[in-house]
Amino acid sequence: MDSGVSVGFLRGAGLSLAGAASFTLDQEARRLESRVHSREELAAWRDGGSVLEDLEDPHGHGTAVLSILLDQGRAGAGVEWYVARVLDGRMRGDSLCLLEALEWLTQDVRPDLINLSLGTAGRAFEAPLTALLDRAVEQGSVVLCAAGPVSGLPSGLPQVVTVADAAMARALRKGDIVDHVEDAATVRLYADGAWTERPLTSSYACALAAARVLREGCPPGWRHVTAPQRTR
Amino acid sequence: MKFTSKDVSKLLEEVSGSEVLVGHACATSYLNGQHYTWSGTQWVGTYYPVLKYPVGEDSSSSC
Repeated sequence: MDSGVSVGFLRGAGLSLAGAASFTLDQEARRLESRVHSREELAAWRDGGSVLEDLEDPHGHGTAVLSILLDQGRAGAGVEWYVARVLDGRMRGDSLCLLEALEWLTQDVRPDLINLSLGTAGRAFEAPLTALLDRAVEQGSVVLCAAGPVSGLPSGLPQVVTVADAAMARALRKGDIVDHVEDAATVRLYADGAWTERPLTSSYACALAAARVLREGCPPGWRHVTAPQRTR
Repeated sequence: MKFTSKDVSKLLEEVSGSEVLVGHACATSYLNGQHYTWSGTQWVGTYYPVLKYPVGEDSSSSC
């Protein structure tokens, strides 16, 4: 779940998405819009037969995260990939879009693994967010979330595995809200039309941890992180 | 494509301002008053003594 995906990356990687959706909030009209695309529509997009602007990643963050999952996860052909776009070209979105995307994922997709390299410092929607994450966990999903620079959501919630890079973990004093630290200094990812090496951030650390789950299976304790184990 | 449009005016009235969600690609860059952006070849840092969020937004991202 991120800022969409570059269709050029999908073509280059030969990746077929099983499903994808975009979620936007029209602040003036106060309406939340959802666009859910079928596998066939996504195949036509990837093959150049159509344009899906609402899914195209204008920032590159979502593409970079997906590229880490693909490159490091080494997932087999049986893995189905879903993309939910909730962030715009400035890498911003609205928490309502996150809620709607989680509604779509938990109702229609029921994924094994959810990567959330995003967050918000606001807590107004903590209750519905918690309920949706509860549903995801009850369905068996492992939910990984990047730690933010300040206390926020969904990082730190008991339903998610909160991941940070080493610098972030030091700053947050690991043990407060961070469940897992990725120690790599850099990561290989796809950005600006090519594979490159970039410094690790909490977003990319989250994707690395998710790739670890794809590659090696879910580590003990990640499937259910219980609230009493940590304080904020 | 399945398109849906939902009225969320009531939900938005219940919260103060917008609930901005951000990617944490460069979240580390906002630590300790430092804001870094990726120039394409290296991280470029600028010092901000106070972490201040834009009006109406509750969080921020660096790249």
